Amino acid sequence: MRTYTEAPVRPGNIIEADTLNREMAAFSSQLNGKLDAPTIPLEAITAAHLVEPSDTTSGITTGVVGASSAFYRTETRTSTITYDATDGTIVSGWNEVEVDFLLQFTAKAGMVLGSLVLCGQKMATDAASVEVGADAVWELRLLSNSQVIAQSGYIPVGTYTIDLPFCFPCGNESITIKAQIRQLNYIEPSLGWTHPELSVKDRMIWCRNAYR
Amino acid sequence: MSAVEITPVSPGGTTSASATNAAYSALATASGAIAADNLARQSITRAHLEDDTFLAFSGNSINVSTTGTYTSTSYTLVSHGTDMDVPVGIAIEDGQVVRCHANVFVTEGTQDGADTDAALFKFKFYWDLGAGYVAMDNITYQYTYAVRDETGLGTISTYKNRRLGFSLLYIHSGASVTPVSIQVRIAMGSAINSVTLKQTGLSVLVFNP
Repeated sequence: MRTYTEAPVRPGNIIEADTLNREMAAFSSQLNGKLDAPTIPLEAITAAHLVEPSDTTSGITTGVVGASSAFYRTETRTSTITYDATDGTIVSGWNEVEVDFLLQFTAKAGMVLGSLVLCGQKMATDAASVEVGADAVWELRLLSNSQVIAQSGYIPVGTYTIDLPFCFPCGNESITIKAQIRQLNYIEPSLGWTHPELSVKDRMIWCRNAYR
Repeated sequence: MSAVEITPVSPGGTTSASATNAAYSALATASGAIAADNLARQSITRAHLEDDTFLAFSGNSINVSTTGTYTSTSYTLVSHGTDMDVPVGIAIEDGQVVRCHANVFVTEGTQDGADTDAALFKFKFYWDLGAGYVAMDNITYQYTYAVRDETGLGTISTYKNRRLGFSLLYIHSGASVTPVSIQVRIAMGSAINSVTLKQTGLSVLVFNP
């Protein structure tokens, strides 16, 4: 008679229960849920088996969170903001683009990769087409939780859309990414920073948080 | 979770070989109730995932050496050499994400001096969801450099040999949509402007996060 057990069968067709339980445990434990990687065939898991992506919203940030990555973006803003040193809407040094223009999300440990898209306009001429500051430049940077993660370098006068990419490692943490601008004089940065006018037009920030 | 019952045998006791065979046969033919909690997070590696789980689609379109000059103030497909157009043709479901990256090499642009600081030219991403091409987003990518040259800023502004890059992230919400294609379109800021483009590239990625 064939037997499944590898242990010796005693006279009288008898085996030891300890042997039986030990040998059966390998099979019964799998049926009771103790599965591991070798139990699951390669490429057996499809998107349908994964948790459905969930939407998130925080301020002007919307996002979608999936199994191995999450995507976030701010709303697209198309209003024009003009900064004027005479009324204090811009000061020497770095200034917030907008107080509430923030990309906010809760990151999982991994990497954050994204880009700021922002159109800036710095006038070289006044309304009468008279040159008023062709040496002026402006600059853009991004901060994540107060740490600088990207900086554009000087941008000449005119109208120019900056696509400023960034990438940085992150932990399981709340992240706030914000944009800052400054304007200065290319020839002598300490002079003439107040003139001519600087404006910001269409803008958005997006990113992908990749994790295990 | 219910346990699979095995013929009860006391430790240290004995059982018959026929009972052993019966128990093993039951296990051999048993179908366990495998539920989500059977799949411990640490048990699954990337090797168990199908290749297309995360990247649903990728496309690219590059125009290499041909140049094209654009003058229209209406948004026009960038189409010198090869269309700046990536076919999609797959359904984008709720929660899926479209990433678009474009880059354009501008050989020269000209505009009237009175318009020096305003946008010389601008781009938008367009797509066709079955009812004609419309803008994917209301963001506009606008460009002008006021270049100082011997003629001075008050007359002619030129714009030469610059590469531009711009991107868009779209998060889909609601019923699925199936874009025919995604395009980059260009428009002038003023009817007297013109721009000549050379190399361009457009990549479109659809993610299932």
